[in-house]
Amino acid sequence: MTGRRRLWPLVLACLVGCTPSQGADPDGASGQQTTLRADVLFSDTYCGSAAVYPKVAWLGSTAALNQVFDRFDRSPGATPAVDFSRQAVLFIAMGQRPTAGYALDFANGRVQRQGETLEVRLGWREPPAGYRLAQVVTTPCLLIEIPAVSFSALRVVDQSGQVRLTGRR
Amino acid sequence: MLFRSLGVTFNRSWLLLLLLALAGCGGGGGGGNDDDDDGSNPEPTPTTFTLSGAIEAADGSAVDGDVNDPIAEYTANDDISQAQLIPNPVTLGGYVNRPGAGPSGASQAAGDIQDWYRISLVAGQTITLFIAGDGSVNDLDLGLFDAQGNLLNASASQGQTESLTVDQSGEYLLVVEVFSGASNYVLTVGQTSLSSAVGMRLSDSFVPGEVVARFNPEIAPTGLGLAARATAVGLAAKNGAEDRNMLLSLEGVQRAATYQALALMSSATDSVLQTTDPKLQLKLDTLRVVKAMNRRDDVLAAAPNYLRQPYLVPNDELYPAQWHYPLLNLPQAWDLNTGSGTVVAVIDTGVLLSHPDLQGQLVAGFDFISDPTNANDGDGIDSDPDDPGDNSTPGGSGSFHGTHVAGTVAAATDNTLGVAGVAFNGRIMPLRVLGQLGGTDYDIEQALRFAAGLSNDSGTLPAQRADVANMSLGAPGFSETFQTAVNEVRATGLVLVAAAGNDASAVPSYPASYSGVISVSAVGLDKAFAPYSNFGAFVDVAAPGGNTAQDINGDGQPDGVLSTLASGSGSNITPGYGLLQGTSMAAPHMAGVVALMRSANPDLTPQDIDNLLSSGTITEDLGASGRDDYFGQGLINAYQAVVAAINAGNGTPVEPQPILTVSPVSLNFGVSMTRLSLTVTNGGGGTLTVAVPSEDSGGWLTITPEVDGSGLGSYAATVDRSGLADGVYTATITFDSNAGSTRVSVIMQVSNTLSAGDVGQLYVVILDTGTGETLTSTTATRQEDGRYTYQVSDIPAGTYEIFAGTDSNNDGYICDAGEACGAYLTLDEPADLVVGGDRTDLDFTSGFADNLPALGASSADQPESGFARGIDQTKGLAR
Repeated sequence: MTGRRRLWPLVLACLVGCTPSQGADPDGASGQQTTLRADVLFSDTYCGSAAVYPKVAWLGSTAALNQVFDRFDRSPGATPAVDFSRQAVLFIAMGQRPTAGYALDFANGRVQRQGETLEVRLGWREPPAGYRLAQVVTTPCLLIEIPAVSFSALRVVDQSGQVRLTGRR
Repeated sequence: MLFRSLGVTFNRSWLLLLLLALAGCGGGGGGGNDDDDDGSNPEPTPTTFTLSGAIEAADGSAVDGDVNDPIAEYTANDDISQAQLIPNPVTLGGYVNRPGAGPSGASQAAGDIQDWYRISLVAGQTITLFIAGDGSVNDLDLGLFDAQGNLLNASASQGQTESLTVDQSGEYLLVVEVFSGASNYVLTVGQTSLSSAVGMRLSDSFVPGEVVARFNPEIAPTGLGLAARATAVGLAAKNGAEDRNMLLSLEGVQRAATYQALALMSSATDSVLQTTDPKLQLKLDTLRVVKAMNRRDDVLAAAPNYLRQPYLVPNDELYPAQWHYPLLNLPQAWDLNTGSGTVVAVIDTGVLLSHPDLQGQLVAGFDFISDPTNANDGDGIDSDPDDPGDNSTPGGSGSFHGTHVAGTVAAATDNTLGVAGVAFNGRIMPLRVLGQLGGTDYDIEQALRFAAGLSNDSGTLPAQRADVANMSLGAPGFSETFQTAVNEVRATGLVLVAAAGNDASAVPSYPASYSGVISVSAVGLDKAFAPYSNFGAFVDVAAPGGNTAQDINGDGQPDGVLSTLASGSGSNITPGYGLLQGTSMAAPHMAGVVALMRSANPDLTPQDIDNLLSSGTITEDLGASGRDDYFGQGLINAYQAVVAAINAGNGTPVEPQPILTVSPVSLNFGVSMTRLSLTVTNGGGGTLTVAVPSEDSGGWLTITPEVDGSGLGSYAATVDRSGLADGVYTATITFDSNAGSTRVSVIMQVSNTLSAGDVGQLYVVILDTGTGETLTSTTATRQEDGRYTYQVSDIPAGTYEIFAGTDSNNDGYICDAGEACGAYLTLDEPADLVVGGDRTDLDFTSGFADNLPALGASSADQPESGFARGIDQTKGLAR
C-alpha cells in the first residue's frame, strides 16, 4: 500500500454523500442507459501477478488500488491520486498471454450504466495472424477511472459485441 | 443523544443529516426510524451498531520497546544495559531517528539513535534489516556484537536492506542504528533463507582505507587536479584520474579532517559501531566514507576497493539478483572469456539506444520494418534501430522487448550500474523487425542478411558482420523460402539462435524450428522446465527463461530474468530494469554463450557448435537421460562451452577443471516441509568424485544418496521435527570432492507452540468502503493471552473495511511501511463488511511484513501509505 488516506471530518463525508453522483440513482432504478465519462488511469503489457487471470474488478479504495499497483512487473511509479469520495477505478485484466501483441484498447472515454450493470466497451486486441511475435509472457491490464456511481454487475464487451469478462461489485 | 467520533461531537440534527446522506449513497441503507419519534414505536430500529472482535498478532512478532508513538508502551533499549530480549525466530517492527528527524512524537526531539536487542542465534542464520525509508537520506545500519558488546560485524550500505550472517551459535547483541534521518524498520531472524546476503558489510573482502570513486564532471568540472579533488573530501589520492575512477585513501590523513569534510562528525561519533581492532576500525571508517561520498552531488559513485575472488563477480548493483548467470556457471566462464571481438545481432523490437547500461555496447544496426503502419516510427526501413515503443499498450508503454534481450546478451558489466550481460565485452547489433503488429518473415530475413554481411534491402553492409543472431520471436508456420534464407546466412558462419515459443505445446514455432537454428526452451531457477515453454523434437538446448510464479531463492522478487528495460513511449521514455519471463529471455543466454565460444575460438562454425551441442559435453543433462524433447541436450553450461571452444582451436588447450555443482544452494523446509532434493553434478570437465556428504544437524536431518559410484546424482534431504523444541534449526550439508567443497545451508523451523506475538500498540480503523476514508478508529487492548480486543460503537449501517496496525513513527497513519498491519478478513483480501447489526466476531491477524515497498531512485522520502488513525494524542511528547 503506497497511497495515503486522509482523515476527513465526518460532516464532509455526509455532504459528499449528498451529491447526485453518489446518491440514489433514478436512471439506474428505471433501467435507462446512462453514459459516464471514463479515463484511462494506467495501462501496461507487464501487469505481473495482479493480472495473471482474466478479470474485471471494481476498486473502491486507495488500499485496493495500491494492492494492484504493488504487484505490477514494471513499476509504474507512484499510485495515481484518485478521489475515492467521487471516483472509483475499474481494473480489467486479459490474463497471462504467451507473447507480445495482446492489449486492451480503451479509446472511447465512456462507459455505460444500464440498471444495475456497468458496461465497458473496449478493443480486445490480439496479435494478427501471420506475424512473428516476441516470445515474452505478457499480462496486459487496464485501470479506468469512473464516477463512483452505484451498480452491482460489471460487463466488459469487445469491439465485436462479445462479452469478454463479467464481475460483481 | 450525542454522537461522538474522531474527537468531533455532533448533535442529533447532524446525525440525522448524515444518516439521510448515507442512506442515499447506495452503500448504506441503514435507514430505519429515528429514535426520537413520538413514542408510538416502543422498540425503534437501531441506526448505529457496535463492531468488536479479537486480533491475533502474527506468530513470532515482536516490537521495538521505544517507538515514536507516545501512546505505545515504553521500554528503553538505548544501550547495551537496556538490550531488549527478543525471541528467535522473530519479525520485529521498530523505529529509530536522529535528534530532530522524523514526525513529532516520543523520540523526535532527543532522538532514538540505537535500538539494542539480545538474541540467541544459531550458526548460519541471517539477520535482515528492512528499512522503510530509502536507506540513504534515511539511512539505517545493522551491527552484530558478541554478548559482551564487542563488535563482530556490521552491515552499513545505502539500500533498503542490510543483512548479516552468524558463523557460530550463541548469544548475540544486535543494534539497529540510524546513520541519518529517521525510519521505521522490520528486523527478521530465521524467517527466510536468503541465497545471497545483501548490503555492504564489515566482513566483506575489501582493502581497508581505500575507496574507488568517480566525480560528476557536470558538478565538479575536471581541472582541479587529483590531489585537490581528494583533499576536498578529506582523503588522499593514490591513483586514477579526474575523468575516470580514482583510488582514494584514508591513510596519512587526519580522521577528524575526513569526518569534517564529509560532514560525518556527529554520525560517526554517536555510533556504537566502534572497535578497538585498528584494521576493523579502518574498514568501518571506509564504509562510512563511502556512504558519505555517495550522498554528495559532486560524486557519481563511490565504493570500497573490493578484493575479488578468482571467479569474476561483476560489481553491477543488480547482479546479485541475476540468479540466471550462476545457473550456467557463467562466472567460471568469464575467467576464460568475456566475448571480446564478437558481435551479436539482436533481431527484435529495436533497442533503446540511450539506455545507460547499454552505452558503449552497441554497433550500428538498422530498422528493417518495411510497413510504415507496423513500424510506429512514421516510415518504412531506415537506419535508426532505436525502439520508439511498439504500441503494445495503446496510449501506454511500449514492451521494450528488444532492450531486455539486448541487456541479457551484453549489458555493460562491472560498471557498478544495473545488470550484467552474458558476453559483456562483445557488442550488440540492434536490428529492428518487430513493430506494433509483430514481424514478417521478409523483414526478418533482411535483418539476418544484414547481420551476415549479405546484400539486403538496406543497401548497406555492417562494418563487421555478426557472429550470432538472436531471434526471441516466432509463430507457427513453416516457410520453404525462409528455410533457404536460413541456409544462406548460416553458410556465411552466422550462428542462429531462437526462442522455442511460449505456448506450452509441441506445436513448432518458427524460426526456432528451422533446420540450422538453435531452438532454446526455458527453465526456472530450480532448473525445472518452465510451464509456458514449448517442447518437442525441435528443441536443442535449454536456458533460463524464468518463472515469475515462484520465489525459490526467497529474495522477495519473482524469479524472472532481470535485464535492461524501459517504460513509456514517444519522447517520454524512461530507462530502467525489469523481470520478465519467456523463451525470449532464454534465447539470449544461449546467444551470449555462443558469442563467448566464438570469441574464444573465432574459427568455430555453426556446424561445430551444433556438434558440440549434440555431444552433450557443453550442457547439463536435465530431464530424461540424454537428449529429450523438453530440455533438448540440457541446460547450457557456459564454462564447459568456452572450454570446449578453446580446445577445438589451435591455441593452448585448457584442461577442463571439474566444478562441483550442487543445486539448489540452500534448502528451506519452513515449518511444514519434510523432504527436499539436491542434485550434484560436474559443472566442469575431467573427473569429479564426491564423497558421502556430511551434515551437522545433530540428528534431525537425514541425507540419503541416490547417486552413482562417483557420488553424482540426487540426494534426498529429510527432516524429523519430533521431540524438538520450538525454534529455528539450521544445519550445513558439506559436499567434499576432488574439486573442492560446497556447503548447502539448511534451515528448518519448529513452531507448534510459538508464543503469541506482540506487535505493540495497535489501532483499529474503520474505513468507509464507498469513500475510502476513515470513519472512526480506536485503540486495541492487549489481553493476558496475547490477543488484542477492540470495540467500536455508533457505526451507521453501511459497508466498511477494518484495518488494524501500529504507528511506530507517530505520523498519524497506521500500516505505513515497516508498521504492523492486518485487515478483516485478511490483508490480501480485505472484506467489504456490510453492517446492518452488531457484530462480535470480527477477528483477524496483524503483523509486520518484510516485503517493504521499493522506492524510486529519486525518492528520498519515506513512502507515504497507510490509514489515518485519528486518535487524539499529545504530539511531540518527549520522554
